[in-house]
Amino acid sequence: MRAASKEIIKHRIANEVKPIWNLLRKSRIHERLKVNLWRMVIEVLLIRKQIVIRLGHEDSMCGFHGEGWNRGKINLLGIIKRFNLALEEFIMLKATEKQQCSATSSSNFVSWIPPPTGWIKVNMDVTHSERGSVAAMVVRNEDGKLLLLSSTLTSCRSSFEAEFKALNWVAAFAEARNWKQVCWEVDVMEVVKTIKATKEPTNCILFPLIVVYLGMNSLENILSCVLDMLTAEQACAAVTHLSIDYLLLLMDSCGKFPTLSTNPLLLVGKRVGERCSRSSNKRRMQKDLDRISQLPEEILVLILCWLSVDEAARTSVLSRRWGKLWMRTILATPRLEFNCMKKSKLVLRHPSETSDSERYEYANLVNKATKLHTAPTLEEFAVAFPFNSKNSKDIDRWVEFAAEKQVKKLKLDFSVKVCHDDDSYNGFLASQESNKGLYRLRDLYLRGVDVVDKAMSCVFSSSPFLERLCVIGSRQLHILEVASPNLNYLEIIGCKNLQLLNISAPNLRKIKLILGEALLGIDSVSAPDLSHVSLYLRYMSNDIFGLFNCIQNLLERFSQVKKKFSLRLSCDIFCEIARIIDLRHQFPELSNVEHLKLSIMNPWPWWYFVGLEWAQGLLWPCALVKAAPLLHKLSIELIHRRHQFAVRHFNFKWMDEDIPEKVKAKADIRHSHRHLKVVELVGFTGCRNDIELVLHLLEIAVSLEKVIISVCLPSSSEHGHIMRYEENPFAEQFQQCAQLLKKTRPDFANVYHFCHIFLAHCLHLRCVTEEFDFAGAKFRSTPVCLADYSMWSVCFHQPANLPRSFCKDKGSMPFYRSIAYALLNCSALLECCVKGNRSS
Amino acid sequence: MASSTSGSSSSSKVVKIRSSDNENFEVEEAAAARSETIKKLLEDVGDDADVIPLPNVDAKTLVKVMEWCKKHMDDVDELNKEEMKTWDAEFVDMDQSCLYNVLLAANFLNIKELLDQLTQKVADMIKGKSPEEIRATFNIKNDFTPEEEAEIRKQNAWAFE
Repeated sequence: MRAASKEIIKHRIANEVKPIWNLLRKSRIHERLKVNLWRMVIEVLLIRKQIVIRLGHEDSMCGFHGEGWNRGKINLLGIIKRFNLALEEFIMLKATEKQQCSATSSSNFVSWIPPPTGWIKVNMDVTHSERGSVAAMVVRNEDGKLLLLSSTLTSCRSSFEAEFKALNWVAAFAEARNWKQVCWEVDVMEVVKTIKATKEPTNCILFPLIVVYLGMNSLENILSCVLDMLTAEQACAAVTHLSIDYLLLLMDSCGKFPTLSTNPLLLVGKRVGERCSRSSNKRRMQKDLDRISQLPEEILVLILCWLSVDEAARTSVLSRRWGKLWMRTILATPRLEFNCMKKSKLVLRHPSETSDSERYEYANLVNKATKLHTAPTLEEFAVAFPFNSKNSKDIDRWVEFAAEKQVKKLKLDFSVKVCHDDDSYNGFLASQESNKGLYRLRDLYLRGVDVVDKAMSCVFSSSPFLERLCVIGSRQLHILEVASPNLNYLEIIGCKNLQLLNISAPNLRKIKLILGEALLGIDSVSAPDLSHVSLYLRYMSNDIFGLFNCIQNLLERFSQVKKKFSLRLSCDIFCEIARIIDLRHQFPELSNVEHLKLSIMNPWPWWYFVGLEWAQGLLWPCALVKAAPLLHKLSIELIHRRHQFAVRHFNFKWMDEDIPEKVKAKADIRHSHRHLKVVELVGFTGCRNDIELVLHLLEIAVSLEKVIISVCLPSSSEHGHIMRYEENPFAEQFQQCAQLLKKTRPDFANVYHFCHIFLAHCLHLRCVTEEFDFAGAKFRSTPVCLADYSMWSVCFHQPANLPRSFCKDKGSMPFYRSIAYALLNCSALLECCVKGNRSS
Repeated sequence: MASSTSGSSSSSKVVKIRSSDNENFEVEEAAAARSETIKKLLEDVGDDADVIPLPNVDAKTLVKVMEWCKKHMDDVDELNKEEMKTWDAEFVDMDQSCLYNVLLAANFLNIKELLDQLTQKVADMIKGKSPEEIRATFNIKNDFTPEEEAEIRKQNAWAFE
């Protein structure tokens, strides 16, 4: 080793260019040392300097760390010398530590300990599985020399039995070879206990046993244990394995008992107490090890970096090893995330319920952490806590801090809900004149922060790399001019005073807008790459024409969207639009849209319940379909948030023989659509408007391949009332209706098959007898594909709001029953279904 | 001899590496160079590269790590990002003991991205759990006395509320 290092030094002085590794490789030192030396030289090993760089602080515990490892001048010999010295010191230290703690150590992991002189030691273990079990033993002498290695296969019913069989087997070995002084080591406590408790020694284990327990470490204990067992005429004893002294002492004391001294057999129980389980295989042993705490600190710190500060702090109680780790993590973590929101308590609370003192306390914590952070940069800074304007000073300082550290991701979330707290923090970038620091910003998320117009324009002008922007619930935003070259995601939600929005972002891909009543329209959108648009319009004014123009304006502005266009409307807007337009209406062309999604919030207007005619029904979206010539998929979603659809609450005319006629009558204003292949209907209930829409779409879409329906069961969550199908007062009418539909147009059989199921499913037809034990389990998985027609298939989804009790209670299983009914009535479908079940 | 060569492209350079249990592997250089440690070594050795010993990594772990390196050999474009994400998620879904071995190997071989993925995986296992649950998950033995633990909880009360 010395020669090698000398050569390296010589070489270093002579010629610095030539690689050092070749020399090291040729030298005859141990490979591990080779690589380590080399790593030190090229500065990849975590020597002190690296640690300082990586962790931002010094670890004074590390006794050996290079300083001045410049590639030019290196004293390898000195290093090796010092290394050896340090190693020796370390070993000495460990040795003394071990002595000190040997009395208290309770480690679960035991290394092989040599038996006393003149003895041999048998380590035995068993692994058990259903197919059989394997026993293996290793026999060594006092020097650790291997005497015998053997294994055997047995068939046992339990691992416990396997353990005993194995013991028999090993004992037979011992007897056959006439081993007298044998030290046994097994690791299942129960076995040891049983042996102890047996009056008659089992089979071959006729020798007196000395049981060595781990962790039973006071001599008094052991001796009393020995005496206990002797009184039970069981020659079992216990000593700790930790100190050979104890063992010898015991040997001495054993001399006093003639029964023990004759043919001693030592049985070592590795584990203590009740924790010991029957399975004794190696995997179990490994599983019990706390390997995570054995990881080097630098890795643990990296792990903690991914946690929010709150969660990292919670690890402090795990054990001593973890105690201060989280604090060290703060020093140089790339992410500082304070997220108190996750705590269930706060989530349920309105922001005003958080007291000022709680706010100050948490603010102080954030202050402390920001002061602790010493690394020059920070990737992510996030604070989520219901702060308000009273904390302005602190928050200003955090934004400054984030600017200083050149954060890439900044997230300020000061509201639990979209809050209506009057004193939201509004100082964001308001006072700062120059904010060069936000130059590196990639991702900005502001929620419950009253951002002002100036601040936003400041962000756009100073952060050219901004990629994502979310502004949620700012009431001071009036005019927003989005101008950002790299922006690809934009989300503006609940900014109710926003009047004007202009977008100029060449890389914008996705946009999500929830617009408030103040918005008049969007002046210009320049985003050629836009592929996903999601708009949500809340009820804005009584001026329905103004509102409708606004929608037209939005459609026009986003007409270049490529993939998906989602439009969410409140029911009121939807119905108002239904009043003023019909199928003939020309919407601005959405020339590239492939997927159109229309969501309707609370689709049951109040007057629906008192029996008024919903004149246009759900039909007007078909005009939108017309406007999108390349449409491939249409989704219509009825979002029953405050569910009021309980059949008993309104007297609605379900029998609608006229629906097919109605659909027919609209043939002249219909236009067929060639590209539409998939229709997805979510939250449908099977009432007349739903049916009408479905039939209409079937007429329009000439190349339709698939209809996916996810139905909503009539229920009223307000009263916690779930309508059972037995209670359905309209059951018979439903049935008639279904039959009627089937008869009306037999030529269009597929459609009526479909309608049939649709109705049966939605309306809980009372039709299945109790004997019909439907394999509900098979249908619990969603979606269930009932049929695969050449033309299109029908998928049923289990309704999302189907409560658990529904499934449990056999008497109220309308979902499965209605499917069963449908199946009974459509033999063709039944076949398909059975096929489907078999294949799955 | 086990090997994880690509075999398909003869043009790409191949390097030999040896695990701690003396199994030799042939890996494409581009894949092996994902490891900063191997990369620096290769730079240092130049063309006359012999087998590179990796005395801290056993064969089983090395195979795992090289599997990752091969997958991440080329820079990912937008289209494959999602696919890569799911692949990564499946990759890190391994049992704890394996996870730590790969973690240590990634640390030794200095593969930052893999290290990030693995540490994040462990962090996800910690997330949302109470201290007791964390202890149970990782078999961490509480070596605090009840008084000490209470004191720590008091000190950091804001995190435990």
